Amino acid sequence: MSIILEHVSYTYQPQTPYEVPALTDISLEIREGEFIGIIGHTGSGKSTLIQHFNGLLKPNSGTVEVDGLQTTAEPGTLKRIRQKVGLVFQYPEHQLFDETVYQDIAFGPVNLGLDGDQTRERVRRAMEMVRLDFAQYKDLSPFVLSGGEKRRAAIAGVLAMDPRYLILDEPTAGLDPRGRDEIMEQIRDLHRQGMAVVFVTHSMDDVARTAQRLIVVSQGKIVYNDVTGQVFAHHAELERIGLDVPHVMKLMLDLRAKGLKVRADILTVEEARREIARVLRGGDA
Amino acid sequence: MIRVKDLTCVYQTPQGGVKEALKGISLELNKGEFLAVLGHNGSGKSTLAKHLNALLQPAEGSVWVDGLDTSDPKNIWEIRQRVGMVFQNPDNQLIASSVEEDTAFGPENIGLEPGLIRRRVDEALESVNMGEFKNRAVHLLSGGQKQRVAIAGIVAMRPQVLVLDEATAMLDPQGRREVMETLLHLNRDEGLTVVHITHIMEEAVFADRIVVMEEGGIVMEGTPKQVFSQVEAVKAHGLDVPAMTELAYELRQEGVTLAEDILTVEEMVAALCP
Repeated sequence: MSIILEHVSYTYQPQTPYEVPALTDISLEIREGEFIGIIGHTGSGKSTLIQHFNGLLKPNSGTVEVDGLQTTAEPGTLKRIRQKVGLVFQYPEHQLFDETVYQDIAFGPVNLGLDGDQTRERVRRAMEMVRLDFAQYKDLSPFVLSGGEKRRAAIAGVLAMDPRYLILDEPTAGLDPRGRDEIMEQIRDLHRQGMAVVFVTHSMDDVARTAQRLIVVSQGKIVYNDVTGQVFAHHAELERIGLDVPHVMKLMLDLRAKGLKVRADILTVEEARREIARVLRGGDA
Repeated sequence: MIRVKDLTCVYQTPQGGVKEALKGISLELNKGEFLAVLGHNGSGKSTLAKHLNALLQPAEGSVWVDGLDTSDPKNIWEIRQRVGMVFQNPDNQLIASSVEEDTAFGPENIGLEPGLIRRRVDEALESVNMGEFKNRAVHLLSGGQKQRVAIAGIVAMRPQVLVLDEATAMLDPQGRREVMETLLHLNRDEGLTVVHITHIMEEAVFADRIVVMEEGGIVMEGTPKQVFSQVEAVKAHGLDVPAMTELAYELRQEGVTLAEDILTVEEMVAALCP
């Protein structure tokens, strides 16, 4: 089971003077249980790409298939696809709308036609996944929550649909360090429970700490699609297309340039601690 | 430049309770200084910022801007001309359709003569490196460009202090770099006093001084090196330290001799490969 894109191209406002090619000939596969980061400059096509995963946008050419269902098939199929693929937009808290946290999260399940008990169970579980205490929060207005709590409530609304694949567009944007760590920890948790997670981010440190596979998008094309450490090995090319490498990796490269024999494929502080200590103690490279 | 003394702010919570957003804060902002304000959400940073240009008036205590008391209604317009603010969302603070019209909005409103407005607008756009975009439509700019136009609109008012309330939070890394470069240029080359509220520790490294807020009070204060070298205290306040400071801390645990105040990759390289 997987999401498969084959030769997908997409143009905004085709055949008008305003036409903008956004994606060109993209092929990729997202398998069940994967944890994937997507990075790219603003305007590179990242958001356009993820909106293809659940059929919000349909390719001008090429195909998108979710567990064998094509997004270009009849409308009934699209509904099934959207239950499988949950999409969390940037600043999802802007989409909170209902009177209570419970009603807001229940909106999806109710629309699926679930009965009261099933809906309640879905809401309870979704709130548990984002660590919002059911009894304490369910009757509050979503608008009195803190920024981080609002975002978690909004994500719970998507989780209540019980998706197999969770796609998040910049889930940590604008949060403070504590809020950011909480959200990333919960996303890692969801992945541990078996959900496939794809997240778009500008934070190289978030990517370095979490993503198993990294997809780099530039000018509507996939430039890299590989194990995270392998992608960052192309640091010079990443910088050329306007992306950073994690601070730790930059350090390792600079240390090597100065003659200290550390490995260059180090992405996190924890790994760097071990590697630098090892080399300073005279370990072999 | 700005003096805050025993400032307290109280507001009603939606549940009908009362919350103290600021609990007797005192702070002196010096002329020409670059001050970074850190603290997790709800710590009172934005509330403090809004007191600096009289968007909010003190419930208790006082705020003086250049000797003007912000609780005196007569002073409000004078104060707001001296202290300009930039907010988080670039899409919420531009009002005209073209870049130069937007920048001219403030100077027009205080009734400057057209020739002077022209000069002020050109200089302001030049100072944020947006001169060549002056005839562009604002809605077609990138986030970083929009924030720089918002800053230009303030610079055209010839303020003495620029307060930025998480103005880089919604930007991509490129946009952040552009705004930070602009702030450092305005501060170092043009003498503007800057108060930068941010969640990004790597931005605070550039400040002359850092203030850390929690629960409506100031809990840490000092140069970036003084503040970030206290790794455990900073983390206890729900914040991060720059990656290199954290690594230096970790390496010291491994027995490597390193200074506590390493902030940047360059400093770390110099320390490890002298």
